[in-house]
Amino acid sequence: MINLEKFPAAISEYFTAKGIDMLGALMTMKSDIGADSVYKDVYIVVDTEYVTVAEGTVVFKHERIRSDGNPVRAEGFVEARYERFMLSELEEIKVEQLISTGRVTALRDNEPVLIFNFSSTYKHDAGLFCRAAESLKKDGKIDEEKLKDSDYEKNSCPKCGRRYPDPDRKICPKCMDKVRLIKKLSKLFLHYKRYILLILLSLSLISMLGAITPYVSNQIFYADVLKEGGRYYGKILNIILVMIAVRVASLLISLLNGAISAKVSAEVTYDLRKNIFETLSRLSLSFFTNRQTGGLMTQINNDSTMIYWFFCDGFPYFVLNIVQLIVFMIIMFIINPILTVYAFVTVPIFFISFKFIFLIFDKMYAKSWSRRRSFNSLIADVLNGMRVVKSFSREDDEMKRFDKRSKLSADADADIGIKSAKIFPMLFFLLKIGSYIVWGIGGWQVMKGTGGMDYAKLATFIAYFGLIYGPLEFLADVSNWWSECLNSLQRLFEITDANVEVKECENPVTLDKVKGDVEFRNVSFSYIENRKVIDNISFEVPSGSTLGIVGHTGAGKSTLANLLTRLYNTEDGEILIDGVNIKDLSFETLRRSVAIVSQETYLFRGSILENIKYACPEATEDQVIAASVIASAHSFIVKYPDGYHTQIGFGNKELSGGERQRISIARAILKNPQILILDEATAAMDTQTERQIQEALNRLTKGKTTIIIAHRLSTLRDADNLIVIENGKMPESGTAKELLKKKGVYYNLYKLQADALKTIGIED
Amino acid sequence: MKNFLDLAELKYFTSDNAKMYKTKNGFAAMKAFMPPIKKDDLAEGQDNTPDWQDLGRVYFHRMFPFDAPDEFISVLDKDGNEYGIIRNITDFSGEDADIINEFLARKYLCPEITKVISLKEKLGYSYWEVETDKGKMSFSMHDTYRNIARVSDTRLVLTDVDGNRFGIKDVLALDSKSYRKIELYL
Repeated sequence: MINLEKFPAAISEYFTAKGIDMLGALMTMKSDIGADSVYKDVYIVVDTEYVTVAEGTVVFKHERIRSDGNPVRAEGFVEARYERFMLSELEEIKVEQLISTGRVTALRDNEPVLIFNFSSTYKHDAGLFCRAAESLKKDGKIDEEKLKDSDYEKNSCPKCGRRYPDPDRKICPKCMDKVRLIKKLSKLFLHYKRYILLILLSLSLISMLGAITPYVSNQIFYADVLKEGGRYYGKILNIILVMIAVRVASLLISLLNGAISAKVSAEVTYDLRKNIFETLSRLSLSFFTNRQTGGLMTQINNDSTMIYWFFCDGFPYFVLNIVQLIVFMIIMFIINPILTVYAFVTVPIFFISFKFIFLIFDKMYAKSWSRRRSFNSLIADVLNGMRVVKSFSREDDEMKRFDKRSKLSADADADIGIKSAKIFPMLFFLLKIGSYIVWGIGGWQVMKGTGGMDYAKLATFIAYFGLIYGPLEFLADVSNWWSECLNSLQRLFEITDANVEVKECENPVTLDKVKGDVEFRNVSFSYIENRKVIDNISFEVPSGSTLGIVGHTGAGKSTLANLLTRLYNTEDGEILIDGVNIKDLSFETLRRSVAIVSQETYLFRGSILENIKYACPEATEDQVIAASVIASAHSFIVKYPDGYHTQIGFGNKELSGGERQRISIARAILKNPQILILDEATAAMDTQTERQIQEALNRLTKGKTTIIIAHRLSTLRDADNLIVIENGKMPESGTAKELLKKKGVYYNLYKLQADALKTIGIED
Repeated sequence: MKNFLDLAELKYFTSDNAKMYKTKNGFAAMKAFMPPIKKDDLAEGQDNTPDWQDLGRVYFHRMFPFDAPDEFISVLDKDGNEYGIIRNITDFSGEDADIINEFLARKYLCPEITKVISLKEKLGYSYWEVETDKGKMSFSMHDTYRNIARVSDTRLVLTDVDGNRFGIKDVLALDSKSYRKIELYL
């Protein structure tokens, strides 16, 4: 039984009272919107024959306070709608996704009927319901394993059972805990312990020397050197030499510390960036399509700097400051306990007001940040779209838009500047009040000679008190950077913990020689929940043959290619290569045997040679040239002054769409895979060049499996078999001749394109 | 310049050429006076004279959901192909307008926030507790920058982690406490 929602006792009783055997239920679930589109409690029970939907409100009938003081609540269910659907009567059970809600409908006697409504919170459950109901109708049972396989258990929070909002990130926003974060943090911490210890050591040496200085320059100087009868009376030169020695030692260690920090900082940030980048490149494609890559890059840079700062600056300083504070306070306390108490009178006020002021500033900073972000995004937008801006002569309007946002951002910044100029000096004055109290009371004690005070002690006390401001200010600020660090760490772990959707299975099958039989078996897939892009498609491509995939734009053709290369996992059904499910194949075998030339050609910055050799770095020059000749790329490459060494990419040679495609074809040819997918690979070329490439490819791909995706039918001239994809379904398949005879979708496409030729006077 | 408005041949439905009704199980459906729906782009010699026909179940879709929720309603079939456009709901009256309004309201069901009770941001997620016209609700949101859409200067559309939407019609109409809580995102 699939228990998507554990029913409260009252609901189970309610259903039992209606004559439904809750023990025989195959699936129980909940939804939150009633048939009348009002928020309600909706409970659904599926058993072998019926789907039962009950809507209403769970209410507390009465409440009784038990003798131990705890309330006993009796829940009841006020029914608003109760409906039973016979499964055998329902056809086409499906989810209709609305704006932020959805509904599950079916056909009953060919009339559409509503089963239940749901909000996006339950969209996954609704999809699961449809699949369960379909499989129940077809096989008479729910294949729990299969449904589980489609990630309903492993993608939910173990604590509260809710699914993660983003399956790529196993983070439940409702019960995310800091403990786990800190645990992980300590792991990272151990990783860098050597550096942190080194920095801590040098810092503590510096502060030790710093702590000695006031003692030497005040207590010893005034009490032992200047005072008559002092231990070192009159030895001014000596004491100055000691002071210089201490200063020089401290300076040397500071220099050393600076050098160590610089080295460590470079090393740790490098290490972090490398780690993040490595994890990123292991992630599935869907992670990137859901995010802006630009933002991701800045995030990596900022966060790694932030985390470095945490480990190498923040943490050691934190420890150091606390130790310093305690040591200084102890020293001050030993010198004069009463004075110490007075000195710290204003400190709590300082801390409280600092905290309060921080809240105000936090908001102001967030505002300024979000305004700057919107202003920056405008700049990026306009610069990228300069061609459009200019061609519609919208420069002035863009200027105004820019001006408006720039002004807003400047206002926010000015606000921060003015406020901080006003507030902070006052705040620090508050802290300094303590020192006036010390001057006053201390001076008075010296005059009266009470509390064992003399001038030397007072001077030493004041010197130590001066040293305490640094740590105090730091500690007042510590909670702010702590929360910022946690944010950065959280984002970092988001990436490192992201669930790799497309994973190599544990014991992957490695095939030495791939024959190239490809089979799709009842494959379904959707990028967005409940919106099927591929719906139950099956076909076979025997080794050595060529399959053509035709269809309108957006029909789902490229998705098929993405699935075969396993950039995404299928949702339902399986894809087999040589009879082995690609989920069981090792990545090495898969990547070695399948190559794709996709419609979005991406060339890296670098030379043409490097780009062609990308998938096959060990290729010889002869091989590169041969591949380029086959791809009809050679002829234009040799025309460039630098030949194969022509640099392409930003600020370098810009290639046309057709040229880029030819280079990517050469790249795929060089790899020489057993299965080649050409996804609109020749769409940006004229028909003649396309023809040339195809003929060359035909000779090359003899005996290899080729899948050609195209909307131009002439591209598919040599296909042995064709399949037609429409709205994610496959209405037709067969040879071109068979399809023409069928007079279906393919026939229409064919006629349309033939008509186009007719209008310009070319008849067949 | 030949007017491109004429070239596009937009088809508008009004009470003169369209009639709404409900299917047996209560879904919106429509009869319209229009040329037969072409199943096949290429079939020739089809009779194109308009006539009343029963289109069966239809789907309404707002083209400008934020600016003009009652104007420019697209009437679609189940695959999302457009039959025509309702320029303004006021072109219909009585039961017809009721059906259109009812189904639009269902499709665009979106609680409008009237008061922000509490708003906390923690580790990249924000936790909201709000009062809406549909009652008290709480939700969590990831990345407030991307999930709070500023539809106009005063109007916001919020999307929570599950993809549910919440609207704030006019931020200036909120009480000052609520306004100060969300001020940051404006």
